[in-house]
Amino acid sequence: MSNIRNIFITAANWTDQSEIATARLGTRFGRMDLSSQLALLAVEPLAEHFKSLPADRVALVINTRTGSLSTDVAYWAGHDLAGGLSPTLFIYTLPSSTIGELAIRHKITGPSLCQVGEGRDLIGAGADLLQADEADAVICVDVEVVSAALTALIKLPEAATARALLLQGNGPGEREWNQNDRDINQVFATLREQNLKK
Amino acid sequence: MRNNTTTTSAALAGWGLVCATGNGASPLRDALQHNRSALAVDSRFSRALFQTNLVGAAPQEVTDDPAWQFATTALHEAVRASESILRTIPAERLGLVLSTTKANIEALERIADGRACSMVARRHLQADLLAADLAAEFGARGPVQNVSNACVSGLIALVQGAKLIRRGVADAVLVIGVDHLSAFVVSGFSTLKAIDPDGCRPFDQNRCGLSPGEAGAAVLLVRADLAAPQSVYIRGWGSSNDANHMTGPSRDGAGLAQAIRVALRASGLAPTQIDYINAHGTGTQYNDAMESAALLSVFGAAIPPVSGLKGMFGHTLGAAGVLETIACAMSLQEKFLPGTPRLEHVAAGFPASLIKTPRRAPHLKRILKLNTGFGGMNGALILEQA
Repeated sequence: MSNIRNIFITAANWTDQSEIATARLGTRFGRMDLSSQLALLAVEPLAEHFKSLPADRVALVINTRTGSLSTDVAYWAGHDLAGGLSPTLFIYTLPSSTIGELAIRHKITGPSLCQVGEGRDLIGAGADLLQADEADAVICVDVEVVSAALTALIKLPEAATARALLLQGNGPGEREWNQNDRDINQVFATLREQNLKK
Repeated sequence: MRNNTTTTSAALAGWGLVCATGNGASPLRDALQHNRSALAVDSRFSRALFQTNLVGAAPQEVTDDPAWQFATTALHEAVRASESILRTIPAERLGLVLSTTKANIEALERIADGRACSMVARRHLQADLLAADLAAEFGARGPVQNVSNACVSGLIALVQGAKLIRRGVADAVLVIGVDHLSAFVVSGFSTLKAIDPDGCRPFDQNRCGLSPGEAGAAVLLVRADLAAPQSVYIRGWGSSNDANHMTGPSRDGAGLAQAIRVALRASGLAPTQIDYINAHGTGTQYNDAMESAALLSVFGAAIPPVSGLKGMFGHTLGAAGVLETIACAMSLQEKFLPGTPRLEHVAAGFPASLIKTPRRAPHLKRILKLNTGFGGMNGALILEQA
């Protein structure tokens, strides 16, 4: 294990669908699914904190409650349509597609993890990568997209949000992470109170 | 690049599976020893929507909840195989890590087509609910995780299980990989023209795509000191991203090479200490060329014997890492190197150490297992028999 004793949240950001229309994140952005777009928007302001680190020492940990189900529904609807199924949409029918887009955008080559669930261990999984010396910085992203079509299939309300934070060990941080702070909703509520948005 | 500090923290105490070779570990062992391909025509995929109907289908009745069916079949066998150790593990110290890319996508197809679909099958569309139900069914009251890292998911799930043990939050972890053949997935790969209509031929000069497959594959990982003598251990791991393309691998194999180097350093091993490499080997033009380049980069002219198994049971996606790791564990226990089913003519420039047919390996001790996936993901896992 590494000699990291303390872990800090060095930057945080959150976003929703309202910011997509005005985003200027390159030509690829418009072709992405909504989850990837939101994840990119949430992470973009954090880049100044990790862009000088070696690419292989930056890790990505993604959590998503419903994975790619909204895109799945949209893709499969094509099998009944004249235009047929879309290969472009199929690429985004993986919960981890956000990892690929974030890695390409920021040239991140370190380890990655995509978890599907409530995100109870999102920050813990990131901290583990630091404590095991598998990374020097971990970008943790919680992204949730529940389309109107998906609400007909599962018992969750419509959603289109992403929240991101950057974890680093030992460095100067703005907020030390307590290992008992596993509830991401609570962590982000506190970050909002402290106005720790980059 | 620094070392990460993975150590021999977890051992494979037992396993179970269902895949195209049959129900259970025995048919897979037999197929491995005889280099038998279980790819076969499946009439479910005979429509124009699909590039082929030659797939790796498991011999299971088609239900509305194949994800649950495959997962529980594999888990029951794994639990039976490790019963004596499991009895000593308190329920709150038993974790579960699920690996899947599409969970029970069958439900989406049925609902869209107006076919019957139970509430439970519909519930298992959500991978986290599938994981929760599996944990409840098998008495795992410790941490439950749900990994979905494309086709590296199974390998990463094993790593996550080992990490739960290393962190001291579990003494044992059921790791289960599952993905089932679906019109959704086979049509998707067909739209990408990624399927070989004649069946995949990993590392062959005439390879032109993958073969879809399905599986449930389960492993019980236990704390190293709880494992029986001669067990197979997870020695170390590494993962990386190409940061290059959403579906295509990097041409130079740099990302996979990075994952292999991290795994070797984490294990405290030199490349010369690897006895055999079990490749991802999808049979696509670019994947196999990329893997060959990565192996050349790390091992130079001394690439250990290497083979790939997807010509046997197809590409089982989220189950692949777990299923292929079980095959590696069998090889370590019975001291043989599996072949590469359906490989006829090794492509020019690929490793000369590619194995077409199985062979005895009395001194086999360490295996490097590789997986890669969409989104540029790469994973490397080193297994060792004590």
